[in-house]
Amino acid sequence: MKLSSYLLRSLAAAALFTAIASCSENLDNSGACPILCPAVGGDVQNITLDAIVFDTTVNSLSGLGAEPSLILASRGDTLDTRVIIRFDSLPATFIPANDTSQKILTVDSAYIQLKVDTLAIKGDGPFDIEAYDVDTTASDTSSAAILALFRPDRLISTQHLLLTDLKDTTKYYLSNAVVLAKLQAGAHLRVGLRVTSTTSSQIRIASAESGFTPLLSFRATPDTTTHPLVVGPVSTTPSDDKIAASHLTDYTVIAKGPPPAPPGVLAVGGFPPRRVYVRFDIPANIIDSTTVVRATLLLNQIPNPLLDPTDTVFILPQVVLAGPAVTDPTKASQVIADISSDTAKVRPGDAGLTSIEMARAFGIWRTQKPDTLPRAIILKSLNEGNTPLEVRFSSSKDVSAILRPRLRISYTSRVPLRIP
Amino acid sequence: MRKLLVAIVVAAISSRAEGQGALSLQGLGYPTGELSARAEGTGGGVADFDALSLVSPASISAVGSPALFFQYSPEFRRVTAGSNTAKTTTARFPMIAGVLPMGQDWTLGLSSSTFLDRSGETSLVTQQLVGPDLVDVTERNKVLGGIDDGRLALAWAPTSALHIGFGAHVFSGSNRITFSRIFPDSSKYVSTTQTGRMSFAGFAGSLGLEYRPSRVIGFAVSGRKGGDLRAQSGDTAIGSGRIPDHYSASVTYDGITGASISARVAVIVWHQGVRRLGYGSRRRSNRTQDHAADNRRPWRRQSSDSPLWLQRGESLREIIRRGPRHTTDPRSSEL
Repeated sequence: MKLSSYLLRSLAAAALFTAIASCSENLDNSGACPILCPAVGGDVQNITLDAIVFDTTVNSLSGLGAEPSLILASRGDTLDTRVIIRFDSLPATFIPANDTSQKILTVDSAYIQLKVDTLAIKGDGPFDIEAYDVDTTASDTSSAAILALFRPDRLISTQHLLLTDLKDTTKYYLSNAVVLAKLQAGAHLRVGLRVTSTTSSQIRIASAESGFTPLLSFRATPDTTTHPLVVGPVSTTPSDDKIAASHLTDYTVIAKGPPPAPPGVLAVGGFPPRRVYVRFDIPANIIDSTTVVRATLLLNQIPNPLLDPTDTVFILPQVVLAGPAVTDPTKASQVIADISSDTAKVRPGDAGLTSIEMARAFGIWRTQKPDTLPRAIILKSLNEGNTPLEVRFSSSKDVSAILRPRLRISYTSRVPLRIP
Repeated sequence: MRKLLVAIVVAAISSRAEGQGALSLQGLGYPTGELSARAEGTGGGVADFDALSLVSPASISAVGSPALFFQYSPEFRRVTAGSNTAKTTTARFPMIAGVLPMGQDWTLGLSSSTFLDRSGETSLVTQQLVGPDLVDVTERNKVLGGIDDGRLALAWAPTSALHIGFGAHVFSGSNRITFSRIFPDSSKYVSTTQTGRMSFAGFAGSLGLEYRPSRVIGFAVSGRKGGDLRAQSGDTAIGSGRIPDHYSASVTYDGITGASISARVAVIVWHQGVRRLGYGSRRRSNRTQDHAADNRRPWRRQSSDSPLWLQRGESLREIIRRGPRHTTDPRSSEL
């Protein structure tokens, strides 16, 4: 019995020893992987094509006032812009605290609340911001008619602001008498803002399109227990186009802008903002039969020293989803989709080669035939409508072939999946 | 004390049952052997007499009562490359078998076993020139699947000394292949993934005979004749080969109380087609088990211009391997 116990223990020990030895494998070969896991994908092929068949500069937005920002600028001979805010509907009555509705007979502490991007302010100040009554029956889109109203007899108020006075939320005070007269007359209060300064100045204000609407606030009674009245901007014209009217609740008027890019030059950004539309002719076998791992649009940048040449413009490529039925590139440039979360960072004053990565467009193009989805992208500024900076590139019409846009494609052949 | 010494000697002389190398991930996979734990534990020496192994259909007649057998065989793997070591544990369930005696003479068996196992993932970093930049590209090749051997066996025992069995085999399985190329910067590069699935179907027949002239000695022979093995990707036939033929003969001696001594010789005829389908190498050292090995490097990759699959019926020259063997990577000297 005792011997059996020994035997069992011995066998158990032997089994354990064998099991431990059996449960491991040590393939010690630093050079094994090239054979055990050979590279089967093949080399990446790189080609550069003159694949651009059409490129042009188009306006980016769908009309006046569609910008997400209001640019109030006075930059010498380069840029002079004004901001228009329309309060076409003003209240005639108010409800005092613990009382019933009454007609507004007085106005006190009238101001417009502005959301200012303090990080985007150009100039050290001080800033003199003038407000003008720009109500007119002239065409809504006539910048000349509006600009003509920035004259002394239309001046509503002036406010002297230091740089430190410009906060995220800035109160611009208006003449109480003007506001009272407008609301009692049932007239439109349309305010045009203009900035002047001893130095170049530029202030970016959020527009209604950004969700931060400028608001008019005033008190209808000196009694502070009664809340002030807050009025949002409203435009009643054009009465037959509600969308345009909504855009015109606040907008920027350009009194003087930088000269546009010369013909044959592509421009991204600027004010009013512009985009570049580029259409390609890419061999079908590359799109259909290979896997494009990288695609780069190679552009020759032309320096634009007019405005902040060392500031950065973030260029974002997007694929055009408009079908061939949309022949107007401006309209086609509105029907777009993201293909990249990253941007190309360029400075307007720089020159030379600029690379725009657009490989993900090929994934979309592979699913659609060219007669269904043209091979086109647009280039836009990430801060489109928020900044007057403009970047320029040589187009496919450039006299020098080497400066024309090109498309560099890196691709691999698809791997037949089978037994290795 | 004497038995303790015997046990120590047994442990000392037993060679490591070294498992499948990572090179098994090549080809269709590696053959698990279709042996039960008992047969594996004895180095395959009793495989021809073992009712739970899918070797000889005659062996199921010795069971005597209904039985259901389920085997779990985890695989522990450690791979060292340079100073880096990776360890993996793979759960495998390579065998399930049911045996049902029918009367005095007949026994029915239904079994399923992993014939070829192909589960693995390799990752390789290469440098590629993409545009003007030299970037590290990670290639991942992942394969999951294998081929199972389902056997319906019928055994007849006209006498207690003689057992005869017949087996019909159905081989089926699939490989799910995922090939990925991963680039480092997603803002510049597009990483790609391709997926594919191959399915396999084949047939074979087997015959086994077991003869025990006395209580102390027994003889067994068995053979499996392979039929066609076809591979499809979707609805498209992408190739064909043949299930390997398998022949073995065994003798067992039970004349010593408490001991059973067995010896077995086996030959596996790997046809060219199947070889190209991807017979991964199986290297198992044991004193009593002999597996045929392909001395023409079955893991060798085909040249790119040669067909992946197969001439039918072309058999390779076989050798019989016996005795302990130390596992090394045979290609290390070829690199």
